[in-house]
Order: sequence, then structure tokens, then C-alpha cells
Amino acid sequence: MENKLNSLLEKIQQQQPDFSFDRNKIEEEIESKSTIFSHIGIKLLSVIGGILGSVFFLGFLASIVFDSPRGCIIFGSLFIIGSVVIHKISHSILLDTGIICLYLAGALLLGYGLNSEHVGDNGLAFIALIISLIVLFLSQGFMLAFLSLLIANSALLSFVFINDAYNLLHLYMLYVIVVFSLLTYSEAWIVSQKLAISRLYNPVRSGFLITFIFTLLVFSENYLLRDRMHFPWVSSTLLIISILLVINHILNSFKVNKPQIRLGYYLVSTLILLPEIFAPAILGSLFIILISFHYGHRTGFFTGIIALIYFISRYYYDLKLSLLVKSEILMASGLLFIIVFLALKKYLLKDENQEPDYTA
Amino acid sequence: MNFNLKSSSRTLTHSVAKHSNWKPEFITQSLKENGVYASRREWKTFIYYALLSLGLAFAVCGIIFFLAFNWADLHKFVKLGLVQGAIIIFVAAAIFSKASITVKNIFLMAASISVGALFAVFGQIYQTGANAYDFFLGWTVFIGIWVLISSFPPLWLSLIVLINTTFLLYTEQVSKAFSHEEIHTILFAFNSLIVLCSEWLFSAAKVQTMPRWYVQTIALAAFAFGTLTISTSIHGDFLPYGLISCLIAVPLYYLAIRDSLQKKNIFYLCCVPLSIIIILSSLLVKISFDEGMMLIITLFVIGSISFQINQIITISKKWNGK
Repeated sequence: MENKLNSLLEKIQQQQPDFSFDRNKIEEEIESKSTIFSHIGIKLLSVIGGILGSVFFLGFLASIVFDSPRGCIIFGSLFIIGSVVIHKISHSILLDTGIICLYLAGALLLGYGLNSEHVGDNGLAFIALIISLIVLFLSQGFMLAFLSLLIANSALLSFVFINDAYNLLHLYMLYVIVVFSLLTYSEAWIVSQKLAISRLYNPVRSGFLITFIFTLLVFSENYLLRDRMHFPWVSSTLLIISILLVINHILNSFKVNKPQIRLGYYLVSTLILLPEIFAPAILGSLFIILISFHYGHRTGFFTGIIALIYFISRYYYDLKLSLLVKSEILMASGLLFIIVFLALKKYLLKDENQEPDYTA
Repeated sequence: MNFNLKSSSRTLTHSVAKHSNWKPEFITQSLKENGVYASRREWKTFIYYALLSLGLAFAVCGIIFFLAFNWADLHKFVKLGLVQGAIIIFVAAAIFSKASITVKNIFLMAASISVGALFAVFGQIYQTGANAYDFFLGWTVFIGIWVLISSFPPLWLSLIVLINTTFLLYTEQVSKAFSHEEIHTILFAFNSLIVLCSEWLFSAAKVQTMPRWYVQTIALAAFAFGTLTISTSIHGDFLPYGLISCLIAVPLYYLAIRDSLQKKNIFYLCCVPLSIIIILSSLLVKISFDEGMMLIITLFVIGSISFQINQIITISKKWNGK
């Protein structure tokens, strides 16, 4: 890593004459972010430990404060504040499990207390949204920011269900697509901003990935919507447009400039995607796979593949279309994929070095 | 596609960007040049396999959905012929095409899924039910040889999932004498055996490549069944199964930890202690269920998991020579 850092810094200095940096802080950051710390296994362990701990902790608190809503609100708030303060004082990954436990127990306790005080479902969701956003911006490390973002997005989604405004799901989908795409496209810009913003990049992007999968899950599960959401094609259209935008980014980055070739890519892609217009979940997982592959995000890529397999199997139970129609749609798009595969096979296998430049 | 390299290059780029005045346009350029963003070559390989896999997957699913629709006017001969035709095409493509071994394996995968569809249609026509255990048994048996000769990890994983499913359906539909603990113990033993065999085959260089996700997925299932059996048997009248599972778990966990340390991979170091922590928490709940104990368990869970994370970090630092 040391050598890599040196050669990178040298290279930047050549590119950018006014380049200045804080070497100690960079090395500190690399040390704390080295692969093992950010290993998904360690993060999962902290989360599982935090959830398990908070369940038992609530079991302990149940006998003490559950009778008094005021007590729940006070203790819940104290726990949330406590978790933020501890997180601010110590950046040690060792405290993560305890902090997650304290935060989750606090949030649940506060929610229970407020619910007993009859603030109403909308009020509860609104308070959850505000508190989680405050914690998101105050938090220093990955975990609190990540969990707060998930709570904030869930609170937003819950408005749809509380108020039976199921068609607003399309608006929620738009919000998720736009933020997730912007976070991925503007990576360079965001990480070069002030520390208060740049350090939120990883937790917020990971949070939006989970939110995205969860939103697709809502779309694919009949029992959640029970046909109360209309026009699934609205979200599908949004997703197709976002996939075309990803393709646009890819073509730009490979400097494919000829309008005819670009148009060809858009048309073939639209043709392949159109049959799935009534299955937004499938389109969504394709979008996640493509964007994660291009920008080199492993977790997103593999999550997308697993989601795709799951959503195709869920599609079977989609009651809006008959099995015959669904089978025709699937066979048609499968055939299209194979036709495009056969057409491009030779070009795709050709070695880059021997290939004439089509892109000029 | 080396995602590990990508993620370490990304960490480096982010770290420099956060503590310097590096301009966004140069950051993007660096991310491209250092291979964090996919290259042309990577995209071509990806599109090649994605188009083929998606094409076959969608086509096979299309056929399955079509048959499930159970068109009354369609003669049963046509239904069976349709699937058999697909199987013949896929197998022929796997044997005779001049494509790479991976492409041939993808065709074999499509053929294997179609075999399942064939049994389902058979069950549908002859009223034996589409989720009968013998349908899964037939499916498992008839793709067995393909799985053996292909040594294609996704196909192996499908076979193991099928064996688990067949057994579960068997206990539901045929022999109802099995208790939950008994079922979980048997599945724990079976999946553990697969994990041990796979790890042994790989260590003894009997197989050249074995992706980690393959063995880790099965290991995760094994640990889940083991943890479930032991921690639930503590609370019921099924102690013998808990003890049998313990007898399997002790050598399995020991070998897993040893393997992790040898191969410098933290996967088992994450799973094994977590399983033990869950089992011990269950034991503590058995001892007492009052509020004092709840607090003790909270502290135990948080303390032990923090300790575990600390140990993993220390060990991995040693691996990296720090």
C-alpha cells in the first residue's frame, strides 16, 4: 500500500501542480479502512451482535420502563444521544456492536413510548425521519450513518402505507433511483468535498443499495400491495430510462461517439428491456447489476444477481398477468438475449488489441 | 474481474481525496486508470456471459411458466416433447459446440433446470403433484451424472440444495415421524460432510479451483442447522439430538477454525464464534428468564462479539505482517 500511495501521490502532483495533501491523515485513513476493517463479515458481525444485544436489552428494560410511556421516551432519547456521543468520542470499531445495540434499543424504546402517547402513525414516522436524519449528519463512523439512513428511508416509505397512498410508490422509486444513481455517478465529486460530506459517502451509498433492493421487494410482493398500486409501468419506465442513462455513461467513458452506433445501443437495449415493463423488480435488479459492475462495486453486483434470481422466481406469483402472458414475455426476452448474443459473439470474443476502432 | 483489487484501489483513492485538494476530474481519471471502473475488456466478457446466461435463464423460465399455465388444449405429448426437445438442444450444445468450457457448463445448467421442469410436467399430467418429494428425488438423481462430470460450482450448489429440499419434502409428505430437531440434525450432518469433503478435496489438490462462495454458502447452511438444533434442543425434550449435533459441531468447528488460520481467510473466524455465542446465549436463557439475566446476556453478547472482532483484526494484522 505504501508504494502504491507514493506512486499515486507523485502522479497527482504531475497532473495537478497546486496539489496539497496531509500525508499523516491519509495514512491514518488507509490504516483504519484497510480491507479487514471494512470487510463485510466484520460489519455483519457488528450488526448481528447489535440486533441480538438490543433484543435482550429491551427484554431487560421491559420490566423497568415499559409501563411508563414518559420513561420510554426519556430513556429512548438518552440511549440515542448516548450512542451518538460514544461514537463521536471513540472511532474504535470495537465499540460498534455496543453502539448499534444502544441506538436500536433507544429507537425502539422511543417509538414505543411515542406510540403510547398517541402521536399517531404519521407523527411517529415523521419524528423517526427527523431524528434519524439528525443522527446521520452527526455520526462519525459507518454503522450509525448506515442504520440512520435505513431508518430515514423506511420512515419515508411508511408514509405510503400509513396513508394508503400506494401510487406514491412511483415517486419513492424515483427518489431511490435518482439518489442512488447520483451517488454512484458523482463519486469523485462527493469524496473531494469537505470531510463532513465525504465521510458519509460509503454508508449512504450502501444504505441506498439496501433501500433499493427493499423497494423492489415491495413491488414484487403481492401481499404487500394487494393490487392497490396501479400503473406498475410508471416505475418500470423510470427504471428503463435509468438503465439507458447507465448505458449512456458507459458509452461516454469508452468514447463511443458515432451517433448511429449510440442509437443502435439504445434501441437494442430498449427492445430487450421492454418485455419486462410489468416487472419493475426484474428491471431494478438489472439496473443495480449494470451500475455496480461499471463502477466496480462488488456488494452491489452480487446483491443484484441474487435479487434478479429471486425476483424472477417471485414473478411466477404475480397475479396481474396470466402465466401464459408471463411465459410469452420471458420466452420473448430470452430469445432476444440469445439473438443479440449470437450476433455479438464474435465481436465480444475478439481480442481488444487486434480489433479495429469502431468508436471513432 | 478482480473486485478485491478494485476495492483496495478505491479505498486508496477515497483516502487521498478526503485529505487533499485533489480535483474531481482527476479523481475520476484515476479511478478509471487504476481499474476501479470496468474496462472495455471486462465489459465485453461480462456482456458475453450475461447475454448467454440471461437468454437461457429467461427462455427456460418462460418454458416452465408456460407449462405451469397447464393449457388444457395442449396434448400431454406436446408438453413433454417441448421440455424434452429443450433438454436435447441444451445437452447437444453442451457436448458438440466449440465454445469455451464455461459456456458448455452454462448449457448444462439450463439442461439441468429443464429436467426439473420435465418432472413437474410429468407430475402435472399424471396427477402426482408438482411438489411431490419423488419429483425432487428424480430431479436430483437424473442430473447427478452431469453434476459429477461438469465440476461446475453453480451446478454442484443446485444439486446440494436439491438434496436438502428432497429430504425436507420427504419428512413432510412421507415419513412424518421425524421431529424438527431430528431433521435439522440430519441436515447439519449432511451439509457438514459436504463442507469437510470440499475443503479436503481442495486442500489435497484433488480439484484445482473451488470458488470460496460455493463452500461458504454450504458452510453457512451447515452452521445455521447446527446452531438451530443445539440452541433449540436445550429448551425442549430433544437433548439427544443436541448432543449428537454437539458431537458433529466440535470437530467441524475445530477444523473450520484451523482451515481459516491456514488459508488466511476470516470467513470461519466470523461464523464459528458467532454460532457458539448464540448457543451460549440460549443456554443462559434456559438457566433464567428474569430481567437480571437479560442484562447479563446483553452484556455477554456485546462483549463477546466485540472481543471476537478484536481477535479477528489482530490475527489479520499478523497475516499482513503488521
